[in-house]
Amino acid sequence: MSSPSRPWGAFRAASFTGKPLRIKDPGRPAAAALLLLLLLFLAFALLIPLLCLLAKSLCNAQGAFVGLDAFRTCFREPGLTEALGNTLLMGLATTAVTLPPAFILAYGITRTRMLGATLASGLSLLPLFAPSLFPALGLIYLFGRQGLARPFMGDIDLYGPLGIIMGSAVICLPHATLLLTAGLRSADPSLHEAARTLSAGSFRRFLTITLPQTRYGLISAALTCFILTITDFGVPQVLGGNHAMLATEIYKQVLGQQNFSLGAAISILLLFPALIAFGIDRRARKKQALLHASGMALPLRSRPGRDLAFTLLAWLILGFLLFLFGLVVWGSFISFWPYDFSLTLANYDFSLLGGDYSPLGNSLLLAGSAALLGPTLAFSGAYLSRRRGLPSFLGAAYTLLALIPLSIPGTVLGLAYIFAFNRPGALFACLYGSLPLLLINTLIHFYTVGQLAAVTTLQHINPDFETVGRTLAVPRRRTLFRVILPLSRESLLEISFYFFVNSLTTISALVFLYTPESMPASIFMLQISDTGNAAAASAVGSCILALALAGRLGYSLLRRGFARTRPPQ
Amino acid sequence: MEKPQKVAGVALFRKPPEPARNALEICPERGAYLHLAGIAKCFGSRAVLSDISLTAKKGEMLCILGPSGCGKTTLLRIIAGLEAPDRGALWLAGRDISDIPPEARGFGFVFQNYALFPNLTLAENVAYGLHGRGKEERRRKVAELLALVHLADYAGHYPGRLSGGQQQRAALARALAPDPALLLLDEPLSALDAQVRGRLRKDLRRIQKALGISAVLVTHDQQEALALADRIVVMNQGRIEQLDTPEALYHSPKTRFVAEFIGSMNVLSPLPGALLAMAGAEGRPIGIRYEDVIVDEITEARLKDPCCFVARIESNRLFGPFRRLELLLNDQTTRIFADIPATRQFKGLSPEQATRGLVAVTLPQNRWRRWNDA
Repeated sequence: MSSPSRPWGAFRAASFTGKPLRIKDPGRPAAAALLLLLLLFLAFALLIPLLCLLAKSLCNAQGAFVGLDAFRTCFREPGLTEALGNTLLMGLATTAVTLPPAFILAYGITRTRMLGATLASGLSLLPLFAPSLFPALGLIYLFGRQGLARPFMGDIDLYGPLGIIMGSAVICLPHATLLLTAGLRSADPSLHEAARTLSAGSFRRFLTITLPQTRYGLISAALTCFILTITDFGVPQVLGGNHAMLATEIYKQVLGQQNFSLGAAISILLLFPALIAFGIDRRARKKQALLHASGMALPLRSRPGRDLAFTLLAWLILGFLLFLFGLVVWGSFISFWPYDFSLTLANYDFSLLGGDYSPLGNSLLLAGSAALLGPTLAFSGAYLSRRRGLPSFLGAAYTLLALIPLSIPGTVLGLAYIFAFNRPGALFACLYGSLPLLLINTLIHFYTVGQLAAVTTLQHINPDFETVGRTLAVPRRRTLFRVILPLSRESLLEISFYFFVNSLTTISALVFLYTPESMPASIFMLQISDTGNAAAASAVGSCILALALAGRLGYSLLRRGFARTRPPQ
Repeated sequence: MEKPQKVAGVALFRKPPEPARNALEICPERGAYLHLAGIAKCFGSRAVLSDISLTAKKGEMLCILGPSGCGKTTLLRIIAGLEAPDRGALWLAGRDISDIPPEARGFGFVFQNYALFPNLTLAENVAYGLHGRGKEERRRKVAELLALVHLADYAGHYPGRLSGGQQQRAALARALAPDPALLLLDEPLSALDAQVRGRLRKDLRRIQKALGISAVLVTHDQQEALALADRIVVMNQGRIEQLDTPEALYHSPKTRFVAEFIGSMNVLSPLPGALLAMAGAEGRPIGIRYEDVIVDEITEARLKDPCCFVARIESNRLFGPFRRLELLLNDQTTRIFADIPATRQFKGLSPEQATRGLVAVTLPQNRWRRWNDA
């Protein structure tokens, strides 16, 4: 040992006294460089635009600093205060309207033996596969001035609060149902068994076990509905009538009146409720995740009365949804609503509108690239920040940046991009309006969900796998490609599909950024719909729906293939 | 193992060790295979290891034994190169390996949770560390190792379908495949149930001896350490309490911690008055193992022994092969435990009714354990 009496005691190796040893890790600098590159990308595509937005809101049209003037204008102008009030009110109302049917669907799917539960859970997702305009068009076909149900409606006007609430509710339904389903799945069967042995009836068990266990799911669902409604652009644009909402107001101020600083101020106002709701939602989800620990399925008993009731209610809701979507698809083949119901393909001839099919091509290119790049970026980021043993401040910075996009409404992000990339002399002004910028914007817009999914996947992979590789002198790269990636393939596919479908259907951010050459189909649909040509808009919408469903089919086939070749766990 | 010499004695380094670069790198402990000197490690402000120095000989199975949180796993990870020590140095076969990354150390590592890759077959798992070798060599090596751990029939199976014991044997084969210079095992048997654990313990010992490989095994299970180890390092709170053979550790513990941690030891502190004179003036505590306490019927001859006490049986539990008595000595304060054969009978007391009965308890002086610290 190192007793000082030994002659070489005085010559101890440097590692005895010097600074702590650092064991060499050959790929580490490269990995750190990659993560830095990702951080730079997020800074370039997220932070800089947001800072530009903030700066703009504090300046007047001439670019001079005016402090909070624009915000004062927001609260002084009656139109804008009204829009703010309307937006919050619509958010609350939509949440209240959406939760009951969503709960019925989720409960029916998870806790009853309703007929066609699997099909129902798939169909409830339908609104995710089309732009938010799509169900809005359906509502117009049904309840609009020339709608099918018009004769039975008296003088109720669809355009305004009613339309916004109904349209938003349809859009929120799949999100709320998904969250509630997850909440209801995470039940602890032993609690129910304990309650039964204490002779609690089913209603008492629902009140004392099911509801408390789902409360975080309910909070998440409610907040998601609220955020979606107050930030959505498509529905109020089509169904809002004269009912001013913040998202459309930003659009009007910026693209209509070129009042950029006021638009920036409004979007920052819109950011606040979204940020608060987002914060509460994160807490709720963390607690939900703790509840999830049991992970046991509840054994379902057959109770004919309950099962029948849920079958009827759930399929009533889904029937309405299907009818609404079917109506739009049907409407796209109609010659001249409501006078000539003969079928025609004329609405699909976009050249009659002075357009062509390039928006569909653009959308496909956009969605395809996002489907490839989205999971690549999200997974690389998650891997480098979580599993590569890099300095923790890098990982923390990345995690924080990657979390921001979820709390930024699309409208706000789109506007921020205008200020970052469309002002004279702006950095990378050359990108403005190009498809690559649309792609970057879309990637950022949907980044968080992809990143969180990748992190969750990696957390479920044994952290010792890399250690095994290292001790066996196998480069980390090889362990990544041979083990980590194959184990993550299903999750990667899911992330990829998420990016694909959202890139196809998103409107809110891209509406500020497109040029005629780079216009995606969802914006094309909005444009046609603004001209009042519902049939052609339906045709574009149906094309988007078809593309999204085709994507879903490809996803299902690949997934099935993966499941078949999956080694036993 | 049919032909151990075929596997044993292969070149232990993947690359021949470089000659020492300068005098500073010469291992201070001549003849040691693995040598650690002055290893210290802090996580934040918490010192996990302080000044750990130890030596392992070639072909030796060294067990690091300690309660959870004593730093034994950190020490193993430092030996593997997965953690860097704050201070101290390591030598292997006379070569300073302190700043060599784990990839280049060429040690095998076996995890408590097996860490087999679920998407690769057993054969692919075992071959994982053999990339870069010839296809034929790879195939031969995999077959050889799977046979060694009795899993030859499972080469094409995925780990998910195998039992815990099979998975751990496969993990052992994977770690051994590249002919590691040192085998490191982190609680390899802790996740297994008792029967499998016993069998695998024997397998592990057999394979380690057959290959003549040096191994360091971390465990919190004293039986495992006693059964497996050539020598045991007992650790407590980041320090080494004692490094000795199992026999020496059991029979002459050097510290109170070791005495109490291994086996079941009565610690008499304070000493009963009657023993005070015999124990020497300083009155340091005395230890006596449960099985060394002699319990008898009360006879006059017995009571003449100065180490003999009258005691009342406070409780009486059958533990299977032995019976454990809790005894209150007649000084009315000292409680000791005694393990006696399960079939032992006392006159007038049936084993079940023996509670509250009086017996003669002898604490023979030649069985007393003393240690250096208080």
